[in-house]
Amino acid sequence: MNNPPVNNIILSVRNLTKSFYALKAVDNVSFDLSEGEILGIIGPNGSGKTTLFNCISGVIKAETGQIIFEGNDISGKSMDIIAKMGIRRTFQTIRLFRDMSVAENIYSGFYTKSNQNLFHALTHSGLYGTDEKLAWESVKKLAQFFLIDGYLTYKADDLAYGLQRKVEIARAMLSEPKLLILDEPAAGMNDSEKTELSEMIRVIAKNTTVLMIEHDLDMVMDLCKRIIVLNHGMILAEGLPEEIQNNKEVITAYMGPDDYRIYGPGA
Amino acid sequence: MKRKLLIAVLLVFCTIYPIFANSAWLTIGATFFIFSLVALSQDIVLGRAGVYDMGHAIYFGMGGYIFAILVTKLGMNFFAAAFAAVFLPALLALAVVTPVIHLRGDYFLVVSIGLNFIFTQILNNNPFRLTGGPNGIFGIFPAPFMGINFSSSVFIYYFAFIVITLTIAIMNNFDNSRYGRAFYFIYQDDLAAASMGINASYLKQIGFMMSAVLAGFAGVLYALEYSAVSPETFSVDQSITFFAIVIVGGQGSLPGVLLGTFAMFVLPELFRGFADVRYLIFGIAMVAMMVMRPRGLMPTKYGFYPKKLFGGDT
Ligand SMILES: Nc1ncnc2c1ncn2[C@@H]1O[C@H](COP(=O)(O)OP(=O)(O)OP(=O)(O)O)[C@@H](O)[C@H]1O
Ligand SMILES: [Mg+2]
Repeated sequence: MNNPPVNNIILSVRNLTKSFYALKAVDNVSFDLSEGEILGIIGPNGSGKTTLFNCISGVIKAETGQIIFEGNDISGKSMDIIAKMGIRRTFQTIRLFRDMSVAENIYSGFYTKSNQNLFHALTHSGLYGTDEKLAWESVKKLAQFFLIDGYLTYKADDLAYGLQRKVEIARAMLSEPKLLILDEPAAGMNDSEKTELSEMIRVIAKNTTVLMIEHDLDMVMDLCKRIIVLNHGMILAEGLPEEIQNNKEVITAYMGPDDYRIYGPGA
Repeated sequence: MKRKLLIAVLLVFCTIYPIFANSAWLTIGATFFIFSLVALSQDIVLGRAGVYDMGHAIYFGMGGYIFAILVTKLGMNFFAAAFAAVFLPALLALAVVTPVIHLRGDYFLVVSIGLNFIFTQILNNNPFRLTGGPNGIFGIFPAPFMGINFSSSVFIYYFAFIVITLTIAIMNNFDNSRYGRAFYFIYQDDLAAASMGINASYLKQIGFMMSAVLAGFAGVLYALEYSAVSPETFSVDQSITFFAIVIVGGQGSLPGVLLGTFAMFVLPELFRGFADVRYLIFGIAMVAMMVMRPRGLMPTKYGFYPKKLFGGDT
């Protein structure tokens, strides 16, 4: 009856290292991520955050270390296999299918859920009809959730950055991933868009574990129960938002040794 | 609606065309269908799978030669020979593309040109006295079946017309399906496509095989139409022509590719005086096109969404 809440580890990164020539972009990084958590990764420019995400999602291969997702070692697996296993991501430099419509972009997330086989596709027979209907209906539903349903027929490239970021998140969410990885989702958004996005991420996190990089510290501190700070590829600090806020080393890494204010009212 | 009307007019025109076309124009019509088939098959690889294949005449030639050899040397019936001539190029395509699928576009281009050189060299060398050397194979007349004379030019015209119509319908279906859109995603951004769980190598293998089936079929039709096949029809020059047709017409665009084929093969016949200088004119046109309309005469139209679900506004 009185069981403590089970902390299911969904992702476990063990001693991960990735170098570019002499530079260790990710240096012996280890952390665990529990199911349902929103974990924030922060750190100065060039501290290895994106490289870490690239290793997890299979864009690049780490030299040493393991990435365990739901008990399976996924280090070295290709991107499409990792995506099929339930990890979806967005990119810091937005990577939409630029000439295609917003609807088509979000539809791409349906690929792994689709039941159409090649014969159905060539002849529009069998499961084609029900499958496509389901796909486009989920596209519409998701677009409504992200408040971008008014733009479904627009070319992705024509949208403002803030909207493009939402399209990218919607595309990643269509397959109902177990883990959503966001690389600076609020970059290029204004304050009201950021508030809106925070609310959306909170709703997403009810069913999906979220791992996010974000430079907007207000947003990270607000959304995440736990934060990891990277500096020169290494974990500099890990803990609750308040702990991070008051950590001297973190402040030094961000601001240089003379300024102790990293975050606070009016900052 | 306008599009449906245009299609209907074209279908009717092509259907009644043999009534008023003389034999030379009937041949031009059939040849247009045959070359359109090769160009569309090139477009699957180039405009959809995004693979720079400049050796596409190989699969066209394989279809033609296999059909010719089976009919003339073994006296095989039309259906068996045609089946082999469509199936074997697909196997070769799979064998060719699998080891080099990870190559970047420009590297693949060089590989495919090399393969095409090897292919024409083999045809010229007449191995086992099968290919007839530089002169090729003449007198390809499959035995009639149930009163059908496969070599009658009216039969070939309608046969090619049915094949190209079905091909266009099927490719249009394909473009509006899970797989067709996946090809466009890969073409637009392969990394983002991979992050959506799309396995590009697998799709490129499928695309290459589909493409080789069509090219092989075109080879059969060509062998029937001219009752002969020879190496120069399937040379690197020819591959370059098909590559250019797709680029000029618009990669991934069915009407664009058909228009490109028409411009390349039919227009010179309409303006006979131009025939001698057609490569000069087309050379200039290609340069001008790439400067002014880099995405082709009729670029692919993206922006698909089902109107029923999202309402008719654009
Ligand atoms: N493909 C690459 N080749 C060489 N060096 C790279 C490559 N990718 C990243 N780096 C280097 O690795 C380091 C970490 O880069 P990374 O993009 O991971 O930083 P980041 O923390 O995401 O920074 P930012 O906040 O600016 O996005 C940087 O010094 C960068 O120049
Ligand atoms: Mg980054």
